[in-house]
Amino acid sequence: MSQVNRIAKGLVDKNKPLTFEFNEQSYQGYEGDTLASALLANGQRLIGRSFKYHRPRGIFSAGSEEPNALVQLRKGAYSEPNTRATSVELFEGLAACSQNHRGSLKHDLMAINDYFAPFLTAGFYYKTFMWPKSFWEKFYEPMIRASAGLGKLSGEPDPDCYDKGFLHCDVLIIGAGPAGLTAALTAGRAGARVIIADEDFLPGGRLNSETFEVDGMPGAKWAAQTVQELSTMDNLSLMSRTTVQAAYDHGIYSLLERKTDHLASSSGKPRQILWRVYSKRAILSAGSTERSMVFANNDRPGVMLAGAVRAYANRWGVAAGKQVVLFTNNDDGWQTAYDLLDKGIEVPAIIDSRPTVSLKAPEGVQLFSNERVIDTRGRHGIQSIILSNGTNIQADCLAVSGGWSPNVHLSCHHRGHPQWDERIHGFVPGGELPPGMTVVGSANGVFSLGAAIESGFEAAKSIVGDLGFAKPRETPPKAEDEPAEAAAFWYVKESTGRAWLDLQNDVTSKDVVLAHQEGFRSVEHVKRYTTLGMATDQGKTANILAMAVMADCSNKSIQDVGTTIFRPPYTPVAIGALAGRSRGENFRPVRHTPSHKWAEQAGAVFVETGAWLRAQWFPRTGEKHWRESVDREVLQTRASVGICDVTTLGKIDVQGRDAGKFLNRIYCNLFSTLKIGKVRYGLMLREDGMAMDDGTTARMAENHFVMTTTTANAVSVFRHMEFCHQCLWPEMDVCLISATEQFAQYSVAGPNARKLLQKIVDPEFDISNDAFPYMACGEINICGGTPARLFRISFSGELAYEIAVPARYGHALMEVLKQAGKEFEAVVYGTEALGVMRIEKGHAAGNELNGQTSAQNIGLGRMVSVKKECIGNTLSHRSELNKEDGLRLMGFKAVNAADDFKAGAHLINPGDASNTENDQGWISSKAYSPSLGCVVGLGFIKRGHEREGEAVRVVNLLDGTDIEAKIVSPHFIDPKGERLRV
Amino acid sequence: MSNYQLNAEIPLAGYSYHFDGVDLFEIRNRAMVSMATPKDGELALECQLKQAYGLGMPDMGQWLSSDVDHTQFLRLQDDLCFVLFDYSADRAMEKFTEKISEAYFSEQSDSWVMLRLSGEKSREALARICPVDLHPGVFKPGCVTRTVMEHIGTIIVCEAEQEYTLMALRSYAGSFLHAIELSIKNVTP
Repeated sequence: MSQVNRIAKGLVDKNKPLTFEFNEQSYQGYEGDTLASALLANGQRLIGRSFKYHRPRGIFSAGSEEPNALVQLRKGAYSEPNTRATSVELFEGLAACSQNHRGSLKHDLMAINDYFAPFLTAGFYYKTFMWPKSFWEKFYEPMIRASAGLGKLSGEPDPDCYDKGFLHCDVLIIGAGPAGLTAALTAGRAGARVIIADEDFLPGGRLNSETFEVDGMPGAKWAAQTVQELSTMDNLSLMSRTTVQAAYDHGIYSLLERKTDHLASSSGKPRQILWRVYSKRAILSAGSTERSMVFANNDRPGVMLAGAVRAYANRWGVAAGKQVVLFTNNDDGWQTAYDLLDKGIEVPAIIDSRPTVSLKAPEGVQLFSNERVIDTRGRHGIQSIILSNGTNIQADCLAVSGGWSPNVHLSCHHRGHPQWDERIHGFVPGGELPPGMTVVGSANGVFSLGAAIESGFEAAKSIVGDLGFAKPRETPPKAEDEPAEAAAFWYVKESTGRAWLDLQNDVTSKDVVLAHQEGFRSVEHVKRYTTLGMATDQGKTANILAMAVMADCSNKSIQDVGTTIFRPPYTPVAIGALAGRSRGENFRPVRHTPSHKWAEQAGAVFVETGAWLRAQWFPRTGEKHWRESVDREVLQTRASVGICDVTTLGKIDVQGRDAGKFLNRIYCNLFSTLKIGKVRYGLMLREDGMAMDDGTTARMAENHFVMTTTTANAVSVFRHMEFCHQCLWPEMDVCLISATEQFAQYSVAGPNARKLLQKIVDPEFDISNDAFPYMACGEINICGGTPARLFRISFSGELAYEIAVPARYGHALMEVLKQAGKEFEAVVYGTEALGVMRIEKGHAAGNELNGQTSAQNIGLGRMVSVKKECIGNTLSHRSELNKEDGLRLMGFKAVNAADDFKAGAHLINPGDASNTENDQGWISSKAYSPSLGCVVGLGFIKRGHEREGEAVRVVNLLDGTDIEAKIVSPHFIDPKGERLRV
Repeated sequence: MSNYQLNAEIPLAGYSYHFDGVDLFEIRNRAMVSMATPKDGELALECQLKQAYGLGMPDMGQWLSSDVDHTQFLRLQDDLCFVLFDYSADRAMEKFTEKISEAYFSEQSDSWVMLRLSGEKSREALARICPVDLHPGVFKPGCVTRTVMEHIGTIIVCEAEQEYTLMALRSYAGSFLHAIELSIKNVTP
């Protein structure tokens, strides 16, 4: 088709033709067109099919409020459904297709739904698909799923990339229409840092669609000149193609900038950027959206908003029809007739619902005042309209103007409720606006151009004054105030056919009436029951019409009916934009220990521990199952020597004259008495007396301690200690700093641990058992003068040390330890073997210190010092935490060595029913012990310390197992600790 | 004497790259020590700093530098300063405490990966990941602050107009570099 509806003028560039495809048919448009304007120019009125009834639908509006013209844009992996053709900027090679039909767009097989309309009213799914019950899963649900939804996902990963960013400004201006541009000029000239954002690719708002003048020149020209001046300001950023999606707390706004949606390809650059803008103030100049009126068959292709019809004519040089009839309840609608006639488009009639109209009908145009349109004819496009007096008028386009509704959406994002303004028969922003927000222009119900410009100027002037900038002395741009009388008229009661409210979700006035009949009286309930306003357009053109119907049903005013409010986002946002760069391998940051590269090369299997990647085990050639690797690592460590990277455990440097006193309050046991060169195990309690974390703390000097924490709690313990230092005991001389990253730290454990270390420790340092006994620590040199710290501590129960070097040597030290360990067949072990050995030894870890257990439960009740105060001391003495039959940590061994049980299983006495009344406790940790040849566990059981040797059942109701076990000492290996002290 | 020797490695192996409008390289041979002021010890420390380096403690969120070993003091907390100076050998803390003793010190040289970002697009690139207001009127040369970039705790120093030092914990080096590189690639041709 050639551009049969293209007319002269408009703001498109006719020197730049563009070829595009719709439903695989080729068309032409121009640079500056939207897909909608280009389709209209080519006479394509039928764009899609409605959601439920599959009725033919065409373009309804000219902006992001579009409910009908949703297309599938692009192809293959780039394909995006539900894209509003009115918001798509035309580019060379654009490909789009219609949605929601089976068979062709013109002959949709699902159009049969329209005949079943009486059965498909609001809420029909609550009353149907009930019988027979078995049909639901096999038949009804799959059928509904196949029919539901609009558009299709490509099913492939999104090939585009996205990004995010942060911007800061004094004033954020939302909307670059006349009020917004004026505000930007004012604030920018005053020197404020300004960001002005508009969803359109051509700033100017309605100025680009109207023929009014500003400062004596056409509005579009004034907008272009203003934009030019704004672009020269260093302190101002004009962001077009950018939708302000949300108003968050503290003056933070979310903006979605479309960087490449108007191009054929993103060329590897981010397609869209989601900006977080921190603003001191915001001016909401988002304009208003026209509304329709409700009458039978008001959804046919060719029924359009009057403001949109003249926008197509004025901005895009497109006639929406050859014979355009106007139906209006206000003066603004008449402007459409004037503009179309001025461009040579036939306007057979103006139908004005008002009894008295002050405006005079142009020559050749028949005026029907106090009349209504009650019906339309024409299935795939309107052909005629029928008035309440029976007159039938031929028309291929019906421009409807039911008034304008301020775009209040962002003002609601802090749950502010819009207020009814009788003056404009609409809701304006009200209630609690987001702090710092001012609303101007038609977004605030100021509909005439001159007044809108002035409101933008005054708001900006006031804001810059508040922010400390010099208030401007100039006056606002001059524009006239066009006629703006309107009378409330919402729907044509004498219409008998179905009349649409929400075009996108196919909700009619009958649905709202039915909802009322069925007892849904609140606007919130009507919304959910009918789904009105719940489609991707959030009911921008529908909501208030429904409220009018509700008001009529309930004999209330619209004000009393009230309105629902809006949540972000203002328009749909691709999930990819919300994800930004957080996808795939880079979904989140990872932390590597200094030996990571070594471990990778050694074939380690890694596990995520928070952000850390830790080696879990090191499979060797021939090992087919992880147990083989882990069992080998455990056995070899206990037989000779094993090396494990323990860098990830938190290390906190504590210094100061009051360091010892500080630690006494943090830990439940005493630390001020710890000698220099010694290490002590410490247990931290929460304020409520429950165990929080444990670790070892070494005293390096009189006023210098080094504390270790578990990996998982490194941050929380440090935060806790800083809180105590800064808020609880600021009078103490103590300072804290994390040293977790400063040192690479390795555990060297096993009977040959000392011998291995003696090969690398410089000879002047004596690490014999006499010179460096169990729980000793000190600064040493290794490998010819490299500084290191050595701690004789053991988690495995074997003779063990932890050696720490500056992280720069971490990789090298691992290599050296492995090399030096060759003669002892030293094995490098991972976290799995580490876990097995600590369970065998009976060490409590995170599973036991899970926030639900006390020092008493863990068997460390006596560690809670009575000689000093500490966090958790007082509440740890609560009677409930010190009951005689309280839980105690014990060991559990399956009677039958071949049996297995899981952590989380519960403990029940033999013969008792497996229920909560008989629950004796639970298994907290479990492992296969290669040292003992069976599964062992640690767990908490009532009166555990008195029940060693007793039988108990380990019951797991999830997998149905019920294992006979024996209660034993939690120290399966070396209960007397002899190996530790050799 | 041990037969073994340990070779030092820096987190990003000396990374350096020139993009169109942006340079990014890993800072080498700079030691870092944390210096905490003892309670009621402000005056004594201030005197030592003036004597050794010719300057006092910088204000909060500011840095000062001395020609002595190109020492830079970053004031990040009320009672804590990070000190950077030219030095690549071990025991940087001992080197520093030759001059200053009236504080509590902790070696930090190996805790951080340090990158220098400079060039006309550096601020634009940083805006993609840095929530700090980088406007030259706000975050000026002489400013330092802690922030979070792509979930990684970061120290950012404004060294000069469109020149920044960025520091993150050493273990995040790979992810940190990726975040900055990607930001640069997204704003440069």
